[in-house]
Amino acid sequence: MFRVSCPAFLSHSIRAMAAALLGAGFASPASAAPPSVTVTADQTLRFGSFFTDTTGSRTVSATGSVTGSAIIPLTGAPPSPAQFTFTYDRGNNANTAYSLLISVLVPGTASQVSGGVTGTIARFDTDLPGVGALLPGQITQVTLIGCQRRICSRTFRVGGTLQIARTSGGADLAIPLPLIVTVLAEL
Amino acid sequence: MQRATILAVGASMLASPALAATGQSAAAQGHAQAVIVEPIVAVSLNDLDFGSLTASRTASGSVTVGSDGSTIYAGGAAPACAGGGTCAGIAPARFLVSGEAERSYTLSAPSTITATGTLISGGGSAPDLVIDALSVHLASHAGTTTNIGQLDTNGEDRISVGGRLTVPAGTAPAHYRATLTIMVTYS
Repeated sequence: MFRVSCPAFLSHSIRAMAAALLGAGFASPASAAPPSVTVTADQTLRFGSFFTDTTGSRTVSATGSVTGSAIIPLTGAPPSPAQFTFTYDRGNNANTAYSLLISVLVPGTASQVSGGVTGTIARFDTDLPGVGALLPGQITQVTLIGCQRRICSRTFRVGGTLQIARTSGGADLAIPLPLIVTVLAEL
Repeated sequence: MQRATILAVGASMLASPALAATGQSAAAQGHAQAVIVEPIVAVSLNDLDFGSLTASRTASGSVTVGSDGSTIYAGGAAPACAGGGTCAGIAPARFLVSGEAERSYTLSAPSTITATGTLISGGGSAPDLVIDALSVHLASHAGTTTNIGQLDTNGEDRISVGGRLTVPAGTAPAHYRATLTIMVTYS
């Protein structure tokens, strides 16, 4: 137990400053919304139409390039990568530059069995900066730089390799592709 | 001492929005689409058979087998069958096409093929004969001349191919055989 004494004018000055700082600190959350994150799926990952004898694969990259193995492509809607938009609302209007450390996760292997056709996407890629492959079940961390305003938004594309195993017939595959984005830190 | 304590409180409050951002997650449900088509296959059901014929010593001739099975002899060519009628076994080539139900396909066939012969007397090689004017009939487009076919609800179509065999004057007795290769691809 101790007591620090100081002249009266200094004590008042410090109290005033404390009140101002505390006031500023509490005022900010009260006038702003809590941070929030949204992700939207804008476009479907389209592998197009093709046929294969028993096994084959087709890769549509995040940049839109298309390659295939043991398949014969058919005309129709052109293949294209999926597109997602990530939006972060920091909850206040502070005009300061910041970056975001986020994690991106495709929860599991995307696959579908339809009749005698099994389609599996075991590997994804994205054009998020600094990221090559997105492996199902594995968290990938990404730093998004250049955020300035309250809303920081990034649109990114996701490609993948679809592996087909066919025993009979054909199939129209519609494989769910869930994506989870978590903000790990505002830097 | 009081000043230092108060400044530390103020600093921690100013940093609080960044800490509040961590752990925010969002998920999006995207999809991947692909159309896997059953391979298209053409299987030979029977050969294009011109039957047995005789050739004039002085005049060239031809025999034409239509895609509908009709037979026309011209010039120095004549059927070599008992009674002078149409020989048994004369027929157009027939193919069964199978693949994805109700899909259209394109047929490619040569316009001319060459038959190679083996002399009946002595077994040596006979001069080649030309088979041209190949005519194609698709069961899915009866009555029209086209190379675009349509597989039915069972994923099948039938192709008939006829042609004209030209026989020069004085052609020696021989057995002739030619290979007719067709190609079917999805349109």
